[in-house]
Amino acid sequence: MQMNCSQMPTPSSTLADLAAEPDFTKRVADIVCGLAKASHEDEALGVLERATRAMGLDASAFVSFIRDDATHESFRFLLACDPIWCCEYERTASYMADPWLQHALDNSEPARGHEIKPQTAKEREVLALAEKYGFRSALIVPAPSSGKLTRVGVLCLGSATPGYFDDEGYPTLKLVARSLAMELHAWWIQRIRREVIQEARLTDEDLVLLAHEWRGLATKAMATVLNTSEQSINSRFQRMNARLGVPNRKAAAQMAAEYGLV
Amino acid sequence: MQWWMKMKTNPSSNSDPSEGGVVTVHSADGMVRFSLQRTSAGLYVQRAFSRNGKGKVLQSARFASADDFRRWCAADTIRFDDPLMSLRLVRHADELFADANTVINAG
Repeated sequence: MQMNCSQMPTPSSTLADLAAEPDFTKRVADIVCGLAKASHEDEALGVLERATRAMGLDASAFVSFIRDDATHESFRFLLACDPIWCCEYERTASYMADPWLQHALDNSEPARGHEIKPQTAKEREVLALAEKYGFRSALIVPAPSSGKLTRVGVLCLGSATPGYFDDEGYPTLKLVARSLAMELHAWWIQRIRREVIQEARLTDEDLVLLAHEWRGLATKAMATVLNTSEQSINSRFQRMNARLGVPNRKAAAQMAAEYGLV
Repeated sequence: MQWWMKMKTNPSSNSDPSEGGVVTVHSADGMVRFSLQRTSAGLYVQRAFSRNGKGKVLQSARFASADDFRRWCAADTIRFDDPLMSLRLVRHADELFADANTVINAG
């Protein structure tokens, strides 16, 4: 991976030294703010790489996870680390036995690698794989969503230095890392939202219908609110369901919520 | 077919490439799709993998050199699952890196 040495802390820096620098948080925050201008994954990845260096880290990955329904899940990785890690992760089907992902699904608090205990041999393998590719010390930062949504982001920060996250600089790093995780999560959702609208050719009227369905309005109520017939509402949902590839309007509304459309 | 299965991974469909064009390569079975784009920071690569209808995995990474990219390709399962595609990928990446070098040298 390409590494630009500007803004990079000296290799001997401890996290405490780095976090004690007066402009540390501003430096990282300025980089994170760059996400607002990122229109493509490459640019978002650039932000993640720069933030990783500014935090004195060797590796990072941001994973966006969405469960569309009981049988379909999507994972989106931004890899500011050796990408072979992700090849191996995929080859070994580590998704379902990843303690870091599970932590993010169950918690909103960041946790250091040693605070997340593997429960099975497979989970230990998944963690050993991460350690091999730059995450000897790790900080796992969940970016949760609210309510009934399954979507979650996970920022994995890694250092080759043992115990890197264990000194007095940790609270400050946790603060900026959370900010980075939440901004990346929001960026991905916006990005995916645009893709869904474009690929499924959703109109503003479609989005209004989906919002009503998500709020639980019945067809008759929708027809009244939108000043149209029930048959028209049903027809529009049928066409929209086909474009979204979902079996019914309930699934369409769930998908719309997961992808930030409503 | 859900919307995401039809989703284009070619970034040029959604945004302007920062430099040069985008090369898209599909596996014979359509399960894996790569898009490669030369940028000022190296080679940006997106790998989209459909997990037998159970989901989708999208990886985004950047490579500083052709050697880095070759190393990654050698570790990817497509090297065995679709060797021709793997070779095509490496060739495209070499061309994208070479084009960038030519521009730099000419400039």
